[in-house]
Amino acid sequence: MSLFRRKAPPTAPAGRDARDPFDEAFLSQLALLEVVARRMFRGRNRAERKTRKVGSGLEFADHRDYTPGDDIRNLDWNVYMRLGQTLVRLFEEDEDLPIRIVVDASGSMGTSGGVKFEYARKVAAALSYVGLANLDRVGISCVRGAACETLPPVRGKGRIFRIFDFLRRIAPEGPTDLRGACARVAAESTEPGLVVVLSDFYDADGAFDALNLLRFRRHEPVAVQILAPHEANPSPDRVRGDVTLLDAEGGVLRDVTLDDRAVARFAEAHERFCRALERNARTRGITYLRASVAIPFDDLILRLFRTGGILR
Amino acid sequence: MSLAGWPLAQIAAFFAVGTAAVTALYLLKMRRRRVVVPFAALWEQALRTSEARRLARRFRRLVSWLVQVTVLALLALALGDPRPAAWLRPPRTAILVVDTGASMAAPTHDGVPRNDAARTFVQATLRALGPADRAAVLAAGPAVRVAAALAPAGQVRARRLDLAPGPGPARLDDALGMARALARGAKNPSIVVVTDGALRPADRDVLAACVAGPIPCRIHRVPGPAGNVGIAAFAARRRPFDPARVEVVARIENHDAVPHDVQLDLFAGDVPAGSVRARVPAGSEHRHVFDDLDAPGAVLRARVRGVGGDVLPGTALDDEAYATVTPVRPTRVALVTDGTDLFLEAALLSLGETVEVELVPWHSKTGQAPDVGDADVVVVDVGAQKLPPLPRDVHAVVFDPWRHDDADFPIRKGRNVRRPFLTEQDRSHPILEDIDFVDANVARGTTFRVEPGDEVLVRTVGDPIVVLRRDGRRKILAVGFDPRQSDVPLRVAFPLFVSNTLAYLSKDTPGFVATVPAAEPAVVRLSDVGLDAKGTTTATVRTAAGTTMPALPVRDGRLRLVVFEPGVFTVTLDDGAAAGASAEMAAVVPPLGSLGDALGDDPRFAGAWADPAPEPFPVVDDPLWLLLLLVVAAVAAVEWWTYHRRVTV
Repeated sequence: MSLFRRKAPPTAPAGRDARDPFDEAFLSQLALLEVVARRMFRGRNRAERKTRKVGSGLEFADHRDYTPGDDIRNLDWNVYMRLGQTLVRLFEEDEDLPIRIVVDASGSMGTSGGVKFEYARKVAAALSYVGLANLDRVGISCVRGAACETLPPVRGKGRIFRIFDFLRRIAPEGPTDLRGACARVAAESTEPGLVVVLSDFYDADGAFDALNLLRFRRHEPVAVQILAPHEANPSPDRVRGDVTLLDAEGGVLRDVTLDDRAVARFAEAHERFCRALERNARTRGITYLRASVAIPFDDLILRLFRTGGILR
Repeated sequence: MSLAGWPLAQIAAFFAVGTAAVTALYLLKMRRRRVVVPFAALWEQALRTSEARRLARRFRRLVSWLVQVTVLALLALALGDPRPAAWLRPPRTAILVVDTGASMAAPTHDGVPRNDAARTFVQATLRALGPADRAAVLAAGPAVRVAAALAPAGQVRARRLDLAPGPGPARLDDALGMARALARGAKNPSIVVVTDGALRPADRDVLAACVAGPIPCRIHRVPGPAGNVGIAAFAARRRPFDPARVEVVARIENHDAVPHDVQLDLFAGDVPAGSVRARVPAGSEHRHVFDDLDAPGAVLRARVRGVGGDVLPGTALDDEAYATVTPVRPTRVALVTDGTDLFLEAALLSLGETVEVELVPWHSKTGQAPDVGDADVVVVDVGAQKLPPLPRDVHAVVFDPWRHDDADFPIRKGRNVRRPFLTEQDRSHPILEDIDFVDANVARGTTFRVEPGDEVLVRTVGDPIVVLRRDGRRKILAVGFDPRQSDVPLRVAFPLFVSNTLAYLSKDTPGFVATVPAAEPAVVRLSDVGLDAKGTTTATVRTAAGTTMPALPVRDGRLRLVVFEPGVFTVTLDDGAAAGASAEMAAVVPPLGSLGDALGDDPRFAGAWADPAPEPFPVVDDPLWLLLLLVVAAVAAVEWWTYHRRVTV
């Protein structure tokens, strides 16, 4: 009908589960996010991400002396006429930057009714949709232990349902080994790109090492720590008295007597753990965001847009 | 301490089994609630404890075990129901009869008011009773009051006992009768009488009968000095010859062993009306009359006090007395006369404001009956005229009714007598009080033929010549001679005769008694205090203390009442012709006499004395097992609150 008619937002296929996280309401929110993203990045070409390469782009970058073999069309004739020097114009090379979204699917993400994993899936789906809408290539990896289940990068907004289906299949279970999992992700991604890690980072050994590893492999890691408020700061009424603490990822049983002071000490220790992760990430230029499941996921997406540098 | 519940062996077995169970439960692993956490390592880091802390936790567990065992021990002890040995005796019932007569206001030998000493003993006796015992306290004053109804001793002990002395002697007979009624059917009853011993002989006899009776009866005395000086009698009345003025008599009695110098002050309202000093010998009395006071209608108050530093012994209750002189309505007198007897008119006029005289001229030729209106008394003195018809329902005084033989007069004629001598007269009759007619000179007269019921006041050689007849409520006084034909009007007795006659006919009884003894039944003729009780069925009495007694019935114009507060009280008619009318009267303390202990020397009471200082009961509160359970509850609450076991166990 018209070349300028807006494309209708994707609609969910019929017959979905009523408890489907990617329902009609979710899709409506995605459509809204797409509009917001367009406003934020108006004037830019699609799939135009500045890489560090200098090549055949359109935006002038620098001059250099002409050497034989250079394309003569790149000679700067104006300089030659004024100064008599043969300089070649260099342009920034434009190329699409792959986006890899890593979702932590360990058992710790499934506690408290799985609110953290649910939140992570929604954020992952929303980021994917916005990325696909900007003609980026988006791949998703779900990690548990050192294992990694990967959806290869796809392009085009119509592929969003593949991402939905992939995310639907994943259930949180098993231990956390972020370092091993990120090593697998880095190994699978031959070309560096943006890697968004959605996790609670409840990994005493390798939470930061995993991010650092991605950085070493020339990826741009973005850490989004998803927390449940009542896990970070438990209410004394819920965990008071003589209890056995059972780790959600198995293995550890500990008999303790919890009182107000013990719960307060845990809250302080949790805060220290998160601050240490944030401090280490920022000192190495890794974008870090702390997200509570209490805030709507679309608010988190906009925060990522504005402050996270995910989309530039 | 003894066990009233489980025996010691059972308690020990219960405790052993319970301790074993508690210990076993503590040795068993505690069932803990599992809490799934996402990051147990972080919890471990936060809950890393020191060795000392672990030891403290173990110690706390040991303390918890000890607390449980302690609770078990307390429960076992509670099952035993431990009691002091005194609690194991059978329950008792103590009926305390406390003398609250007027003498109890006097001090004891120690200078303490006797009723305070009695109260102290009552409290000590109540403290000697245990929780299973019951008690009642009766106040035996002029009237018997229940100061504390029969109830557990603890409740009686907590009550505020009203043992204030009353204005009259104690009525031990009524109080002991009530005590015996209370003791009937009670467990192990006993009666304890607390008195100062200043009892009337009749009450002493009743008390002796109680001591000898089947119910154990003990006496505790709070005696004091016998001496008492007070006003034993106080009365006021209008003067017979001058009702506008008042005469007052007061009698002071000294029951002490030494004479006392006293001053008697008399007040009319708040104004001093008289004062007199006297020395009252030991065991004697002093009577004084204030004979000419201008205080009709005022409240009279007499007060006796020592002078010259002399402190009057005994109670102060009888140091004051009150009296009122009731206002009187003038007697309306209709004088039916031919206008010739100026002596009679003068005698009537001399009565001043106490009579209202209306002259009703009469001449037999007119043939019309005299109109006497609403007169209280009709005096008929028509001289030589024919006697007019007497009006009905009005008292009448008729002089020389049978001057003419065809007169219409209810008292029949006897005979005519020339120069009758008035030979006999009834001096006890109020009309002839202070009057002597025996040597009077009379020119002529007529005797009467009396009938049963007639009173002959004066006779002439045996024949009635002055006769009083009652005709229903009407009284007729017939004088069988004409005053004009005698020298009677020239005598000073004539106006007195007229005054007595009018007073007798217009009042039911002569005199103006407006004083009743306090705390004793009294009958007051309302007409005596100036109240018209026609149609009145009830009257209200407001006492000197300001309290209003329930409506009292009035029958035949008489009010029967008992006033317990000495002083001036007010009687108000509730209904009838004069509804709302009121009059003041006074209640005085009856003579108290000696205040000494009359029981000590009486052999009938030997061995009946109560323990002067009964031992207080060891524990006067509720049973110990209840306290033990309360301790258990408190310990359990503290343990529960501190150990936070409510979630996991």
